Amino acid sequence: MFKFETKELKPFLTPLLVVALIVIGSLLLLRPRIEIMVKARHDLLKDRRFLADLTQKLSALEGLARVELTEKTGVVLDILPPEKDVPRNLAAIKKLALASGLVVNSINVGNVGEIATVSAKQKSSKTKGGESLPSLSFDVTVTGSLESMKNFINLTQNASPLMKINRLSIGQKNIQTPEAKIEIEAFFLLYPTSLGRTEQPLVAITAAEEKVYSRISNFVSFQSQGELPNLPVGKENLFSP
Amino acid sequence: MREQIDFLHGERAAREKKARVLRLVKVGSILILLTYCLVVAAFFSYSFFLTTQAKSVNRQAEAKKAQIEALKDVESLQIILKQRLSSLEKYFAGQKGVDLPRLLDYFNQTTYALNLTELSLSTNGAVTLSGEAANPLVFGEFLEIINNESSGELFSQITLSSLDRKEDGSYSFSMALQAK
Repeated sequence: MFKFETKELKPFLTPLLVVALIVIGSLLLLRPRIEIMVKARHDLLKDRRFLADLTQKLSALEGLARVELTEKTGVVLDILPPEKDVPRNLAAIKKLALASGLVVNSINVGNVGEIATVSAKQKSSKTKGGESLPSLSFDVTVTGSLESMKNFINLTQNASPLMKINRLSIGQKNIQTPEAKIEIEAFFLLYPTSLGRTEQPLVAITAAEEKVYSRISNFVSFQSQGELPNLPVGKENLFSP
Repeated sequence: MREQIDFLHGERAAREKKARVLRLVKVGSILILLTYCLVVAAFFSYSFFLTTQAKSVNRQAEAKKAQIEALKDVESLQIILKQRLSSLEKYFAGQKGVDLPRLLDYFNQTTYALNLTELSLSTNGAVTLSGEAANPLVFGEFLEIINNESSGELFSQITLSSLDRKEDGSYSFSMALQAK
């Protein structure tokens, strides 16, 4: 059996204490501190990225011309109204017909559905590209020459609000001039559901979208409600006929 | 001269060597401990630096957020503009409908000898046509024109849905065409 004397072990006490101190210190102090530090560093990097994004967004926002933006938004809101505005669409159709030289005989509004803006999810027109826009349909009966009908079609293609002729049926009945039934789809688009959280990056307008804007900015507005029919504004007794 | 014989010389040398090694171990241990303390201090300093930086970054972020909030109306306008332009871009890109005025012109020019009763044009290209022809020759001429055209650029499919001879010798017909 080995027999150690205390005197012989005494010189090794300091290194042993140092090792013990390092081990205990590392376990109790350094290790948790390193874990916290790694996390803090990770968070700091994340926060710096976030700050960089915010700075970028702020400079982008400051770079936007408020007046120009308001004007542009006004134009696109004229083209794509944010709600089902049946009277405005009716006025536009009437004005278009008038400008084309057609006489409007009747206008039937399709299934309007709910007219509250938030719940106004109507049938949408799916294009070949897959994009769908909510729309209202109008069946319009007009009388006029073929040339006027062509004018009507051409004007509708570049008119505000955005409308599309889906079907045109021309028939010659008892009158000299042809009568046409035109199926028109008038589009609208609800406002975005979320109007930009601070953290979200600012969406930039692409070159293709700028082209679209320059195209639609030349659209002729036919939606003034100035010529709406003389509608009664109310009656004295609600329950009277 | 008196000479001394050191009988413990070897043991002393070993003892001194051992004492040197032990001293070295002791000094080394203290040095390691000091280094360790320095490392710990460095870690703590870096940790403090990170905390300070995080606070500073958060302060700056809050300031930027406040500035962005102040420009919320501009951002909203931009979002609405983007949403609508993006939808319109896709809408226009998907608009590959037929040219209705062109079709109207075409039928206006080709049906001069016929008495059309109905012409229906759809933007998806479906065309239905019905009318009357005074005699088979007139109708045949129209069919020839339209068949020639079908090989061209206007129609991809032409179907004669009905053809009836009336008592007065005229013909009533209906056709379905698919415009390209």
